[in-house]
Amino acid sequence: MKKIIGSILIVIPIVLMTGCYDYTEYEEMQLVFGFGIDKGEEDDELIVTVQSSGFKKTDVQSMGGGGSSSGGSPNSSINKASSKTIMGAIDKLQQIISKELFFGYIKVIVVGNEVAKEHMDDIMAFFYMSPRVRGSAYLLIAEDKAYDTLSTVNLSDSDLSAKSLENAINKSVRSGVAFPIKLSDYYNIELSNGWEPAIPQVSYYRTKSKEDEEQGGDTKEKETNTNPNIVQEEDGYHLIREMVVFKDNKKIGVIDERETLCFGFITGQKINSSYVIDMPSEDSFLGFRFLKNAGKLNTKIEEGQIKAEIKVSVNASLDEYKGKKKLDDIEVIQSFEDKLSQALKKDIEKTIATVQKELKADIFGIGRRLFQQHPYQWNDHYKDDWEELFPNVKTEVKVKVKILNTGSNVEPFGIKE
Amino acid sequence: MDKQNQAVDSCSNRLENNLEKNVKAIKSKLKNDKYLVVGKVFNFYGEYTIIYMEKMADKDWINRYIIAALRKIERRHRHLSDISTSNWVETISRYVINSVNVKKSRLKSDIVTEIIKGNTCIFYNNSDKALVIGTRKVDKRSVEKTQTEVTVLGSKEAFTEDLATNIVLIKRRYKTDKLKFSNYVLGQLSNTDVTICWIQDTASQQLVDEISRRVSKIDVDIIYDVSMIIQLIEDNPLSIWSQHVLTERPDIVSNHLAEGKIAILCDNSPFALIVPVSLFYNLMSPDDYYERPIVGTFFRLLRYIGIIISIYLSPLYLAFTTHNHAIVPPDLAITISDGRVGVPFPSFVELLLMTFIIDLLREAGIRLPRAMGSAIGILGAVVIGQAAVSAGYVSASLVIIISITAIANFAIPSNLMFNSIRIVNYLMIVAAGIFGIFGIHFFSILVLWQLVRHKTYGISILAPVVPGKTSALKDIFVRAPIGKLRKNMKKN
Repeated sequence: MKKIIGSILIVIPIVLMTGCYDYTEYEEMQLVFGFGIDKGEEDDELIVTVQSSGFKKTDVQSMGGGGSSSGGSPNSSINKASSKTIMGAIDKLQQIISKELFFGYIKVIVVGNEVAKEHMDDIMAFFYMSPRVRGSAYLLIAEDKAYDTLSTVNLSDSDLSAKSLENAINKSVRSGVAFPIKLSDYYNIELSNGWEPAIPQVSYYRTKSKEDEEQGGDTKEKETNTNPNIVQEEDGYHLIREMVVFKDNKKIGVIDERETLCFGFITGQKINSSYVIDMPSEDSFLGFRFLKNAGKLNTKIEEGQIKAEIKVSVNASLDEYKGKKKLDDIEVIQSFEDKLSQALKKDIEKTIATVQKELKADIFGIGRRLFQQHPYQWNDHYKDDWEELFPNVKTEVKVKVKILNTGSNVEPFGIKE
Repeated sequence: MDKQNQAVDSCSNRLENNLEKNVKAIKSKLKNDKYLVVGKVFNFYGEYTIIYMEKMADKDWINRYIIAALRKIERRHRHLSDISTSNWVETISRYVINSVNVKKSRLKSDIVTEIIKGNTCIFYNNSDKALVIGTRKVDKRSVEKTQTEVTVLGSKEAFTEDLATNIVLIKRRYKTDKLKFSNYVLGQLSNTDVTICWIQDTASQQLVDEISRRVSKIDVDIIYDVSMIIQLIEDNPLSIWSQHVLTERPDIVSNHLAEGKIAILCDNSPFALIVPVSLFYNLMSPDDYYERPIVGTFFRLLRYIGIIISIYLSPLYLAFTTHNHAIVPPDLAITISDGRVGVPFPSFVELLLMTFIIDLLREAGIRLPRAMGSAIGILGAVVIGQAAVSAGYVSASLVIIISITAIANFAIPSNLMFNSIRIVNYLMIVAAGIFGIFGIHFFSILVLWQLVRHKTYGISILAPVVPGKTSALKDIFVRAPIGKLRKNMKKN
């Protein structure tokens, strides 16, 4: 009997004193899916844009398909506010959003162009310290303004622009023009010596509807100017293409599509895109599709000179061939392999030259590899001066290609017997 | 049986040497019972009074073999020449009556009990001894198919309400003299027969003695069912976990007897009780043993997963949507939060309400006539769930969770475990609603703590797992091939 009374006396204060702390229902929360940061009008102000999925009141009759209400009417709202710090801006946003903002489901974080040039470290410090934002959110650099990027909605993809951006990032391996980078990856890269991050760049394009053109300059929408503000969504689409190169948390340049592909080869990213070798002299061209690739980086220190050896191995399949050679001859296939390997080698060397000499930022991680393979020398000599030493690293590229299949026909199209 | 009567072996209980007085005494005890039959038979040697209870004794048999036999005695029967009031019982039973199921008695209470049981009692002129012949024949249910513990394979016989039939069903599975029975009569008013059976040298003698001691100490007015016996002899009557197996099938009983357990059977109860068992025996189904080892293991694991789902699914859902939101994938979060649009109740109340309604539906479905039962069940689930979602009382994703839990509940083979698990589920929902995932952890630890300390008859309720020897685990989570389970097969 004493035991029962004793346990009751213990349990009741536990319940009463802790209670239902942290009990929040979904209807009290505004789920934030996209986060954007821009430079404000004043010098040190930031504009924070938040794209969230609130609920819009739908017809009571249509409650029957309650779960499908997000498929019918658009369900996202975009708000922005400006303040000196991100925390201040979030406070201002709570004035216009009645529910509690919940950042645990953020899919993408879009950083505006000007902020990327100057204030990247302040922003990343906020994200690094805050436990509310999950580390698996994707990072993107907007070509222009983040709030314009987030307010462009691609209705054929998804209601939420953050979700369509996430879809585009996930599928970018198909085209090989951008490689996803998560917030946690960014912390990893930025905090390790000898490695600089490269983040995909997103640009938006608005499609103008016919009514807008007919009405001409007579716009019906009122532009409001309050500090926390609603941003109107417009139809359009996004393109995630080039990669932005950072150095010391500042944007210093952009590498274009071909260079991004080579960057992917060097760092061993998953690439499923295609590659065309044009041979106008023989009036033929080869179209390859990459199936599997691996990149290995080896560093050597010889007489004070740092040498980096880059070995790329690629499995490709021949998808398109205009020419006259028959494809069952092993010599022919080997010649194609040589051609592809030389073309890739040229492209990769060009990329490395651009990054090394013009941008001077070590996005390949050569410094980190040097640290992994020669830790004592790195710690003693190279760590502090890596920025100056990186342009003088000698690189040697070897590309090994294997063509796995050549399609279903052995004789190329167009040859008449 | 004799113990009770020996205590009242006073002078007033003995028969007297007067036929009239004896008959009157018996009749007065049974006070004008409409079905009491008192008859007289005369023959050369004297007057016999036969008393039996109509509808409980076999009237045909009595007429044919007692009354006719007594009447047929001829004038100078060879063996009956020296019959007298003192030895008439032996003489008659030896040479006249066509039955060997006879007994001599001198005590009135004894005779009254025998008549109530359905046996016949014969008095001879002025003798103080009475002859009791076994003629019991009562209407009883025949051995039918089991209703509550249905399996696909195996015998489908079930116990009936007659103790003798039940004992026969067990005896025919063990044609050996090592199967021992010990009988008790419990209940001062009901005088119910209770039998304990075990297999000698397999069941530990200490255990048998302990259980026999506890059963014989029961002192109540009636025993209405075998489940009453278990409540009187078990170690922890207030615990929610059942420490016994209650089964309707003789093949399950025989399986357990061979493992050294003890079965308790009671008259008027179609269930047999098996003690001592650990928690895992209530989660086994005989189908596991009739199938092949890998198939048996697969379905046993499926059942365990079903049990885990039935305990943990709704509390986890509640914890993930109210306290620990970040675990849910973002796309699922959109679906769930859209489903909750316009729902008036908080998630906690909604979940408790729906769980309660499902339990109520199930309880109602037990009492419905069979033809309507399954239809109402499906109708209830679909219509009520759909209507509740359309009206906006509950969210759609919750209905799915509740239905999966209800389906997983039916994977539990034993009714006793089912009830315990329902209670644990409710408490776990409350813990999850108040503390979130921390509450689920905390409550699970509490339950495990209680289970580990729980002992029945000196054996822990988590028996093979708690001492932790792997050789004992071959029948708990997996079902090892028969050669490893039955030690006798190895000798061959």
